[in-house]
Amino acid sequence: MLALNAPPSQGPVIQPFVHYRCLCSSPGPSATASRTPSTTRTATPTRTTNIDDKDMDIDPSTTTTTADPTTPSADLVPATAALTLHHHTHHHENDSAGERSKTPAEVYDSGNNSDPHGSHSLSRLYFCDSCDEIRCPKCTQDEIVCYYCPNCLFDVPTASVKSEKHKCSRNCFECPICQSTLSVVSEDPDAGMITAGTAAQGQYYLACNICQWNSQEIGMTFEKPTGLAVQLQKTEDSLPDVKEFDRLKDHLEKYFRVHSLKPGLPSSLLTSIQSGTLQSLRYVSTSNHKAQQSDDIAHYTPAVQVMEDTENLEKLMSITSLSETTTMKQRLRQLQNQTYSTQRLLPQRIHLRIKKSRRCRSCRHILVKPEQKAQATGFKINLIALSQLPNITIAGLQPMIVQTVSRVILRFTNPRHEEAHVSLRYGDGAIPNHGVVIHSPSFTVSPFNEVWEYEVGTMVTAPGSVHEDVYERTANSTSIALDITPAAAGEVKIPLLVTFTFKAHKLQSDTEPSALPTQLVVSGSKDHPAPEIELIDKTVAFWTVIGFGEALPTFS
Amino acid sequence: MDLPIVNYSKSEYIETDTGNKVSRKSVICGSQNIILGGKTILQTGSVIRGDLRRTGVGHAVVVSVGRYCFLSQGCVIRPPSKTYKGVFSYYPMKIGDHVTIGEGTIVQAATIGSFVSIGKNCVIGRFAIIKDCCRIEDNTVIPPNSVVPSFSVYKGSPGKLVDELPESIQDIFEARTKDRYAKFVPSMN
Repeated sequence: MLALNAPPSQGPVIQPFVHYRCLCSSPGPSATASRTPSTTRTATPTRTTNIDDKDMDIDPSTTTTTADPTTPSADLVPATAALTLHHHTHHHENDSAGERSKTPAEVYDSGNNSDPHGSHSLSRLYFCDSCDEIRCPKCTQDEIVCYYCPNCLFDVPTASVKSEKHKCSRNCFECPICQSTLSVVSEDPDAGMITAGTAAQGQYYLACNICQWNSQEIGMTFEKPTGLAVQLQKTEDSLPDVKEFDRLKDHLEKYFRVHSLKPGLPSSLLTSIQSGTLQSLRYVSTSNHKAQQSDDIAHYTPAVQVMEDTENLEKLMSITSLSETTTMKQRLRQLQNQTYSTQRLLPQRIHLRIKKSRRCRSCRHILVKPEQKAQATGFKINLIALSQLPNITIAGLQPMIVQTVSRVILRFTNPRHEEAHVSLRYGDGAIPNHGVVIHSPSFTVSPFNEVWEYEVGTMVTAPGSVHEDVYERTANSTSIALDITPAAAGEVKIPLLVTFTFKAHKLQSDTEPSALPTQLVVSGSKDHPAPEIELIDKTVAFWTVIGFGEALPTFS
Repeated sequence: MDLPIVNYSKSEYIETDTGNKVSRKSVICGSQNIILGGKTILQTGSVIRGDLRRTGVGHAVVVSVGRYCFLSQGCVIRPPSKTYKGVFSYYPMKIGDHVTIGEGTIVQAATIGSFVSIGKNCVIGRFAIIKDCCRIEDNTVIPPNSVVPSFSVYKGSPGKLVDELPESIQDIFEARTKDRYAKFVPSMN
């Protein structure tokens, strides 16, 4: 199917895609602009109510971007003037709610990187169930859950992470030449038979399985095969740049303590720099000096005299082969000892990795919370968009030809356990304006049911649902047909507004007076809703960008 | 984009009671030492070396493959081996559920977790451990004895961490392997 789309000429094949747009990253069209009559009973779906208690200082440039129609994604913004005008205030608030936490640089980036329309595939998105809005990785906030070594997978207590310089303090080392993991090898292949008590001194060494480097080349051997990091601690601490760094840190911390600054701040700042180069140290000391506007900081005398650059230069001038020097990558992996000689490269302890949880930036609710242990892959909370929003897939695709109608099948799959109603609207006004006919713009999708997992491919029409003119209806998905007439050659992508209504349990916080005044309306507008389980209709509207590959100019 | 329906010749594949689909043109050595979890597909030319087992002891499981796995054309599953205390021996290999192994890839890992996707023409070194929810890109070499932690994407030679996978990856891999199994159907004629 994809091969049909390949242009006969050059260039990579433009793949079809379905992207969902997060409002934070670019000027999204007002979601309220296109209510279909069937969903009018629910009001404003995408309002964030927590705006009031947050700082409202919107960066002027951000606001400009929001209002400016010439931003990169403008071609996908429906420019229906009346609608935009009518909902102008609303539109603005929507965007600013998401934009609040962003710097102008981020706004700029979001319009210029790999997702030029601020849209992502559904797999990368989250859905905050208290804001009822899509959240992308940029509008969620990461928090560190735990640190672990990616090689031995042991948790490292947060308290000791800093003192261990964010590196594994067990037995994990990376090759100084190719950065792959080193293994501990014993000198004698039969050494395993010798008991630990009779082991000769310097029996073990580190060896790389990829580039065949081993630590015997630099005269590094170990008595025991365990606790190598402790054995190497002395060597690491005796490096001149490490000494200098520790000395300077002590020096500055003394100063900060006297001036009763926040005690954790300076040391964490310095540790995070993780640098041994004297240049960066000088920079830190002078910039601090200036910033404090105070001269009572004691004069700092360096402990180590560094070799003159001319000596380095002479050494490098006499080199005949590039393999005698270290590469930039190798030097940058050894910040405390940026040597030019491959003979002086040392095996490095492996950097720790983190597990992180995510929070919604506007309401502070936790979206993702992994289990505490490093090896566990489960989640305590995982509000991914994939399990809450209808998943749109392109189920059928004809090759696109300019000014010729092609039939496209879109399948909407409902991951929820309740029946959902979906209505679609094409964002007319997009440039180029492809002719789009949605054959069934309003339809229902049956709920997800585990039983269907075992009956693959059975055709089910949910009882009681209205038979719309849909293309196909299977277990928990509904497929609809679209007729697309590409207006111009090139990649065909269309903006589609999806309004999604589903039944949800009423949240406790929602019952608070005026908590979400415009967001939720009790189903059937009952005056006395059921006291136990309140099911309410929730409506979520979001923009999607759907690409159908490249349109060919004519029949070939 | 939906996965296309793949038709296979009914005479080429054997379907087991648990739904495994094994090509007659695949090479299965020592089948008594191999466990397939069910609904696993072994394509044409794939090789599983169940005969490479630990010396001495009697019956032993050498290769265990979970459910909804997909072994593409020409991939080789070979248990890892090493000389320990002067004795050369093979060690068992375990592959989890929902694992995809690409065309021409050679696997000598100790363990591959669940929800793992390995690309084409990769080499997974001896005793490598690939944890749950990982992706190995095409043409990657995972060095022997290395560990690939969860939610990572590895690429290159030697394989390095290049990206992290989103939290939804387990659902995505599961849906994809199930979809692929459902669409791997015998041709009508």
